[in-house]
Amino acid sequence: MNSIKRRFKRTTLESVIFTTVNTIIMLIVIVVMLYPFWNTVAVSLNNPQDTLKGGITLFPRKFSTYNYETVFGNRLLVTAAVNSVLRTVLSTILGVVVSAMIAYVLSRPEFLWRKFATRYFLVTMYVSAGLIPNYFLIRDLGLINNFLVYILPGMVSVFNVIVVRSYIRSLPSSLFEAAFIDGVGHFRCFLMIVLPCCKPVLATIALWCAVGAWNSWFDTFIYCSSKESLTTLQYEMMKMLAASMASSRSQDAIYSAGQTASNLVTPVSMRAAITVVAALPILMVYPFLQKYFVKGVMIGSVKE
Amino acid sequence: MYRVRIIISLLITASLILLTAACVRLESRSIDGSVTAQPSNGIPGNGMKRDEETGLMPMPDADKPITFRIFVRDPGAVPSKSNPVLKKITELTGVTIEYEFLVGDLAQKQGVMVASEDYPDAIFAEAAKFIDAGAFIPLEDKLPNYPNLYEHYSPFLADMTANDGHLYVLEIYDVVHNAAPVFEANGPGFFIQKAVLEDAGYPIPRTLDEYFALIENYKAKYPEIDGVKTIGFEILCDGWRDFCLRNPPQHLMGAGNDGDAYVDPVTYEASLYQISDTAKNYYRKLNEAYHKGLIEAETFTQNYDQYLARLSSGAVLGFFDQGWNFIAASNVLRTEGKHNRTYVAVPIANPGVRDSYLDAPNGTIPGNNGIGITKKCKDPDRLLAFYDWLLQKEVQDYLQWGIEGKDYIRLNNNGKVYTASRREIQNDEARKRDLTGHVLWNYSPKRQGLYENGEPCGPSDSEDEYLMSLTDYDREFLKNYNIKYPAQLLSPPVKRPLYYPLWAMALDEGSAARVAVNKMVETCRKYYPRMILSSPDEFDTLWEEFVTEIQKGNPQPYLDEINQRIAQIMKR
Amino acid sequence: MTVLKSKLNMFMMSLQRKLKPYLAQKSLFFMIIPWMIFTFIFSYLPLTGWIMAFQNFRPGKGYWRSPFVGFDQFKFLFSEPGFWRSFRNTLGMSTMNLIFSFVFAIGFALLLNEVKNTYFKRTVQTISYLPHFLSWIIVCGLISSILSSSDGAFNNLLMWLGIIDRPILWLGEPKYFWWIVAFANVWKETGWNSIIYLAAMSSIDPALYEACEIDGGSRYRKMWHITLPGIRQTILVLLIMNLGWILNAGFEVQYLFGRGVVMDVSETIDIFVLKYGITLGNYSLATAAGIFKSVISIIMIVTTNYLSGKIEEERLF
Repeated sequence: MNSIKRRFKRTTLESVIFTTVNTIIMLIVIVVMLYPFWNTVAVSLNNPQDTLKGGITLFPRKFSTYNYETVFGNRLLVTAAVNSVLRTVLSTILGVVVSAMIAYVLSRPEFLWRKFATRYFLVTMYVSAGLIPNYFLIRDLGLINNFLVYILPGMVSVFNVIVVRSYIRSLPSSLFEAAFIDGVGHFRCFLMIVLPCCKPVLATIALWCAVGAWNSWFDTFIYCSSKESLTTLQYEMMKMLAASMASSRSQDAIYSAGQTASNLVTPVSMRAAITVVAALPILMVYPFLQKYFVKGVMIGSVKE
Repeated sequence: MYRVRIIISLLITASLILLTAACVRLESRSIDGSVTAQPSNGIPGNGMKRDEETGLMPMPDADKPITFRIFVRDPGAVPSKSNPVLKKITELTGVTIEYEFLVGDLAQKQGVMVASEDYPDAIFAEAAKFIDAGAFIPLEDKLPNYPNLYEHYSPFLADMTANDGHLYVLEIYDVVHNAAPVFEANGPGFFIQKAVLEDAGYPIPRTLDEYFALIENYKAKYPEIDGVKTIGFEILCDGWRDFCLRNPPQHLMGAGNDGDAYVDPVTYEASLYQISDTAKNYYRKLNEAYHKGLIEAETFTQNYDQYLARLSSGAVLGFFDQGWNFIAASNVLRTEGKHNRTYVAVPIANPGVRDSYLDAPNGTIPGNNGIGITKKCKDPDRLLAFYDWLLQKEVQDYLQWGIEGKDYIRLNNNGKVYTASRREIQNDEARKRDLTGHVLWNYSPKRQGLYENGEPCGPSDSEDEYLMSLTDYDREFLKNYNIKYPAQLLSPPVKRPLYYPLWAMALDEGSAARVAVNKMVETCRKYYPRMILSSPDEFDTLWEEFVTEIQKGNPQPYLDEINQRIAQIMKR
Repeated sequence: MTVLKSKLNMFMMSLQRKLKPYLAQKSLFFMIIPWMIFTFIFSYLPLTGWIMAFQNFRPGKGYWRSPFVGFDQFKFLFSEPGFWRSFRNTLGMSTMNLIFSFVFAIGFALLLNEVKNTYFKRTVQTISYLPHFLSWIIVCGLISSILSSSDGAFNNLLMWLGIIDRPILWLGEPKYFWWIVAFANVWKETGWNSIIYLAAMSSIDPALYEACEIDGGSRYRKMWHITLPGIRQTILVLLIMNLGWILNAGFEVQYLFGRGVVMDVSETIDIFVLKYGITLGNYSLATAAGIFKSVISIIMIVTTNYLSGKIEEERLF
């Protein structure tokens, strides 16, 4: 009864206008934001030679699955996919747990090193040694051609720590006080209170970690390029893209000048196909995380 | 005659005996001068039989498998593991080559490799960086042990020797003993649509004025081509590809594709063509063309993909570019049967100046465009022996042409052409990579041009093969000019001075010369489009401003450096 | 003997007294010290590489054999007019990016939060973050064709609306460049950036909304007076952290759109370093520029943190 009454009350003219305008804005957002990806899919399904002529917008002009055949013809694809999934899962789990743990400690007002430790971590966000010193470090740690190089260097993300910390701070302090009075230690408090209460923010940083790990290829390029068994999906994709550029650039292209080359992969088509192939798996993770941060405000907080 | 033959045979026998006695190698010379190595233990045919399919002689160590990893500076795709030619080569030599092609940024990759000294067995990249870091092993003492390699490189040993007196790099491009004819301008040129020439009754434009007049007339006559608005002249300005904007003046001055300076052919004094009168006239001409509507302003903002899209629409009448840069567009036009919309290079130069777009081999090579064997190499001698083996004529033929009868046919005049089925493979990037020896051939020391008897080393050197590939339209087009191939519209290839080209001189990193040339290029990049787009009466002011800006950036360290290098080389 | 013993005793006692608060928090220390060591290894140790900024570093020679040149790299940077121009461009573009990306992401999150239909809401959100998965080269290619002056959709639209009478060369006019970069960022990242605000909104106490409703507050008022203040802390923290990256305006968009005609406004510090540093193999210059950026970053966050503490009583550290 109560809720029906409330709904009636809400249906004022102002509210109707608001809803209408908001819906229109959201529809515009859908069109504007969907277009680039939609276009990419259309290009990926178009004949690569025809794509060169430009002008593909919403639908393929000359339908072809050749781009995908090329991508899926890569013999390292399975190895690469397994590695990518592994590194993504491990990086995400570790990244979330570690960030949350550090964030919890830094959020405790009584922690003696709070100021020092916060600054200590914060500084690392703004300094970077550059490619070569980092390479030396990785080499000296024996992480070249080692799967751990995908996990360890990015494990502590200070940005994520700070984001989680400010979320923890916004939780009611009574939550912790009650626990401490009950004699719960910090570690258990972290496990039993912080982790469950921070689901929305942890889901967010999990998404960041997962997408970051999934999308990175540079570490494979620099640290693991000489070991095929450690290749990653994005790196294989970059390799295929590079190869598609080669056909038009190499010095031996002279011969094809008088000829009509067939089955050429072009960089534009290749880029579209690899974008779709690489993005789809990670996009599928999204709905699982989405439920933690997109839900009615009411439902979201009532559960605690 | 008879006497001569006896003497020769005696000499050969004597040398053979000497060689066997010295227990070096038994050799059999073939027409091209390459040497087929026999088992070095002195017992010929020690269980070694010619391969039945290919007729090739295996290497002595064929039963000891070894894998070499080679880094290649180009992006590319690794041939499939089931490539029959590469499998056969491995079977005959025991050697497997694993290529790592470039992904991402070359400078980063090289920096990391050099800094960490994590080298593969061999590297084909910017040699100067690796030599500087002591990554390569000197080869000058080893080379004479490998007769084919030695014979192949002996005319170029001076070019291949680095400043420290050692030889590190086995050049893989342009090591040409006898040049094959140039069929098409694959390098720089003013290109024009064949239809424009056809429509005007097959003239040969020689000056900028003639060139733009042709374009203007055609555009006036046909404001639309296949429903697309006709574009007179395109200028690609995207990133490093903006040589299309910056390079033309040096070609108008009659220089080849030299680099960022003009070198006087008599005094060998370098100067900046970027601020020459020719340049001023050229950009004024473009300014004029812009105001006549022949150039669209968009050409200065579009990217490479958009440029290719324009070209492949067939609506662009002319542009300055390098042949390899727009092959993709020509390909689309050909696929769609628009043969009259494809392009041909024409000999545009300053009035009274002979055009020189085509390079003839000048007997020199850059000396840094090849493979270096690193100090981490498992077995440098084995790799060199492998390359030596590859240089045999029979092996080169096998890699480039395939098997006689099946893949290619020998013609009477020493010519060779592919069979139809093989040509199809050759035109298909993926099948060429996975079914032929192309990748191995391309990234190894190799023979290019013609053998002494006029036989083409590879299909790209074969006149017969080129003529086979022409379409009916092209044949007709060439007939009207009374020439055999399109490059004959241009002046014959020019033999360049020894220093040539400037762009291959590796300037020291971070040096004043390098900073200077960088700044100069940036200034050009910024001012040229502005001048072309400006109103005609502003042009002169802008030009003055541009020249002042160039001088302010102080290009002198660059000119000094290259002048010194040129002098050094020309002293040889 | 006894004196010594009592002294030792006293020392032990004072030590115990001093250590006591630490021991009381030993679990907190256990939870953080391993990660501090970890961070030291992965973030602080490689900083020894900063030594390169004072050398003429050659990768083949390593740190110890490369010649030292003092402050030459910095001198080159600071005396180069191109560097200061790129400094200005970087500041301009990243300030615009920062403002636009914050306003759009927060605005979008607020509006999305007001969508009541969960299914619609999820759909909009999923779609909004799709562009994040496209590379810049794809997005810039699309922008370039949309803004094209020959038959580009944007020019056509404006001409149809009668706003302009002939196509504008958007990418060739320096005055539009920063706006195009800012909107490119908005297009690609708004959905992605809004996720964190949506997460923050879910921690707002529902009692607040109910109270507002009882007072007869409109939805607009709820949005403005409850939701926005509810995520204020998140906004501030992100803002301060991002201000530290004020000199990271990125380089991809600028590089992809940066033709000669707009070079004066397109070149950022990263591009400058790329041109004069990496492509020339000059790692020392790149390192020097990196140090310069770090110094500016730290000044920025210390200042903003201080200001934020004064004005909003919210500090990052």
